[in-house]
Amino acid sequence: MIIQTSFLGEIEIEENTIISFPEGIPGFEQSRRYVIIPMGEASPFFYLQSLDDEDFCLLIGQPFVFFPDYEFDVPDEELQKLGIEDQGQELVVYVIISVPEDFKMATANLLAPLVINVVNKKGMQYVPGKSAYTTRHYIFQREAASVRAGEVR
Amino acid sequence: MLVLSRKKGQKIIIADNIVIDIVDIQGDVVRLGISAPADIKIFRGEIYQEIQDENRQAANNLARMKEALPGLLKYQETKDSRE
Repeated sequence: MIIQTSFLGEIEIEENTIISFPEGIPGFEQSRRYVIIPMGEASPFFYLQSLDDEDFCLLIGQPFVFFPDYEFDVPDEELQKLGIEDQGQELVVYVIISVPEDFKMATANLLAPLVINVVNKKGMQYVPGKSAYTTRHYIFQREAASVRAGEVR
Repeated sequence: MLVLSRKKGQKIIIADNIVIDIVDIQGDVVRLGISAPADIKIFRGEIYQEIQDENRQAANNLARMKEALPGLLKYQETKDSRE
């Protein structure tokens, strides 16, 4: 099917790639259906485009490419909502990337990852009760540090 | 909205399976103990708010990137080159 989007223009998607977020995404609770579109071949970046709101698109990324030590714990009750039983087989994790005007200062939201069951195509943004992470971790840590050092001088 | 006054050591019971204990009160900080079934989501109000705000900011940033860099949409290039 062909869909209209503000950010990516007109794109063709396969209906069996549509992912449902039964609770939406915080701030966009009414947007329940999404597709994930790679930014490029072998790129760790993807677009998460809403099918319910053509204006709503997020840049997301594979967290372990940038944060190899990233870890978090989702309670079983939350995973069961996604129908996940065998985690390794079904679970895919992305984090939302926010890119300010200086792209070197791009940050990843490690506090609230996107957890997706790739088999039944159900996803959620997991909101933890507590976490060692925040909503903004620099993905280009060295570059961000040098930009910030420059500001201080 | 129901507003209740509670003292340290007292409880609030919601439905038949959620119990909130007033564990301690120190100045303007109240410590609560919450017992609830595992499928009830509990989080500090500001965490959810913070994630909502961050998501909106990320979406706005991406929308702004489109205006700043129309050529950034590599997806379209990949798609075109395949055709």
